Amino acid sequence: MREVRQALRSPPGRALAAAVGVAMGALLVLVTFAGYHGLAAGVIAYTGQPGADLWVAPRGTDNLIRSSGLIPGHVVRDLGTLAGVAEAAPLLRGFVTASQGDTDRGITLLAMAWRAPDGPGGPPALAAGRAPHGPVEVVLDRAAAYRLGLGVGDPIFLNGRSLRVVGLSRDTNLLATQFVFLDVGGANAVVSYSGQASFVVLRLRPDADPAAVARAAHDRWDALVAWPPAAFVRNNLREVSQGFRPLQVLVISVGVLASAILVLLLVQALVQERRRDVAVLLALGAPLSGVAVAVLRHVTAVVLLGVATGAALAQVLAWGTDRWMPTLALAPRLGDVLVVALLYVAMALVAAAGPLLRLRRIDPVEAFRP
Amino acid sequence: MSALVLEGIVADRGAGHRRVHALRGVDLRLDPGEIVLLEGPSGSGKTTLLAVAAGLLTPVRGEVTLDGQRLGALSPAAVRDLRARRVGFVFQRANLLDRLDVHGNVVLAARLAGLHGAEADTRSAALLERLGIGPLARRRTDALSGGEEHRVAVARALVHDPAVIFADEPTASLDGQTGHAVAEALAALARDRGAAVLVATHDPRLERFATRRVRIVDGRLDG
Repeated sequence: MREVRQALRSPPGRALAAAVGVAMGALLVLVTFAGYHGLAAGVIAYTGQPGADLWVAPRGTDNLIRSSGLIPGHVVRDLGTLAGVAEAAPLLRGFVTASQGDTDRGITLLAMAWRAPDGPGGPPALAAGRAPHGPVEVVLDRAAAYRLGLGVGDPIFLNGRSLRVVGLSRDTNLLATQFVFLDVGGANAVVSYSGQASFVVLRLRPDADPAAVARAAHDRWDALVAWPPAAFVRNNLREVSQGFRPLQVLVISVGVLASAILVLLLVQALVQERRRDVAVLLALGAPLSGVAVAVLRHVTAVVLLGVATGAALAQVLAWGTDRWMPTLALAPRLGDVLVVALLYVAMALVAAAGPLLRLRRIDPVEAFRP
Repeated sequence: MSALVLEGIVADRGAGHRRVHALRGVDLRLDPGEIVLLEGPSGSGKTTLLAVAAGLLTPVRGEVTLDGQRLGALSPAAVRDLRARRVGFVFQRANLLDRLDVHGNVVLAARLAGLHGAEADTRSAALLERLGIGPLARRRTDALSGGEEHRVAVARALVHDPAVIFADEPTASLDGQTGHAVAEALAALARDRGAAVLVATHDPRLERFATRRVRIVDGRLDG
């Protein structure tokens, strides 16, 4: 009943303060989700890029983040001769130190050397500039460019070698590190794995069966494994998740717990301060369940207002970080807001249960007390 | 049919070693339109008697019949429903709900009694007009004077045409003139509607509105 709900509202200031507190908790939770999606977007964009029909890796390597072993140069060439293969493109992967000048101080980047400018395994999307042409040009992840204070046309030092930034890539930020792309022809000077490859990306002919090509590659070189893109994406997501999930669980727990305490205090204060009003309502014939539902609806409204505010703030934060702090890649999703809303409503029900049980102790005869 | 019948009511208050016999065999009958003053010293059992009669407190022994229904034979939900529909209260403190405006306080009682939308609104507006506080309908209750608060409480008690109204010291917190006006309004409206009124009071000024007076001492009615 509307009047019962109105009668049992918290003071507007307190309800607003609680909603803001819940919003901060929800923001924390949503940002961890958005951070994961931002991270995953980079993994998916790169390892799931069109044109990469099979990812061939040394046995024991199933992802891009932690790979070991190298594929000899002649094997790279021979992979191109397998039936159904249109192109076998070597990829050289290594961590490099990048800096603005010829100095030891720099940041560590994940260098991917590929057949520039249009071979498979290059940057999935460019935010500015163009792909490299030749051995001294690189495409730098735009978050890395932000960290280094570089833009298109600026010089960059990779492991002490001077190159030039000719493009900035998007969706290539792994949070802890970022990608830098250079032509495989010039990569030896930087990562010094002469003629070898960390991975070979196979582009198949239209009529080729990927599974058959993968089997043929493995049959011929049992030290190699060929991963379909979907499996390779999955492996990479698993790899980035392993480090991220514990932190995510911790942050979500803290965010939800802090909000639960706020809800508990809100309901506790409501039940204590409105004790006489509840007694009057019960004396007038309002059912106890109706009173409890009114309190719950109020608390749910406060929580949903908090979640909606948190979601709006997350959106603003994502926009702001994309513009001014691209190292923090946030990709908020509506689905996450719905999940967090459900999580928070469930949390509110649990947190409110204790104080609500105290309603049973309110005797309607208290309405007679002067 | 009597509006309210109490037969052999024995009721306790408190729990454990603090339990006391608040009512020790009370018999009382109120007919429609009667205004009965329940007088007695503090602690004599006046409020307990109102609570038992209204179905807020279950007696240890005895039977309450309210508007023809024996409360002992009803489920707690049915007693609550009967109270919402057929009982009105005027408390010592007006006990208005301060998150609702004047109109909301009165409409609340109407809705709890099962009246819907327009009818609840119309009845509330008419009563507030009759009590001379129509222009205050949208005012917050914390902006009302004591007399205005009690007039709203009277409207809340009467809006759903109850069979019985229980008033607990309705003039105790009001000055003489205001208390007189509130009591007069309550008596007049109750009489018009044929409601029985049981008023627990110390206030001798209310005697002129009463059709009968009963006195309670140590949980027993005198005489």
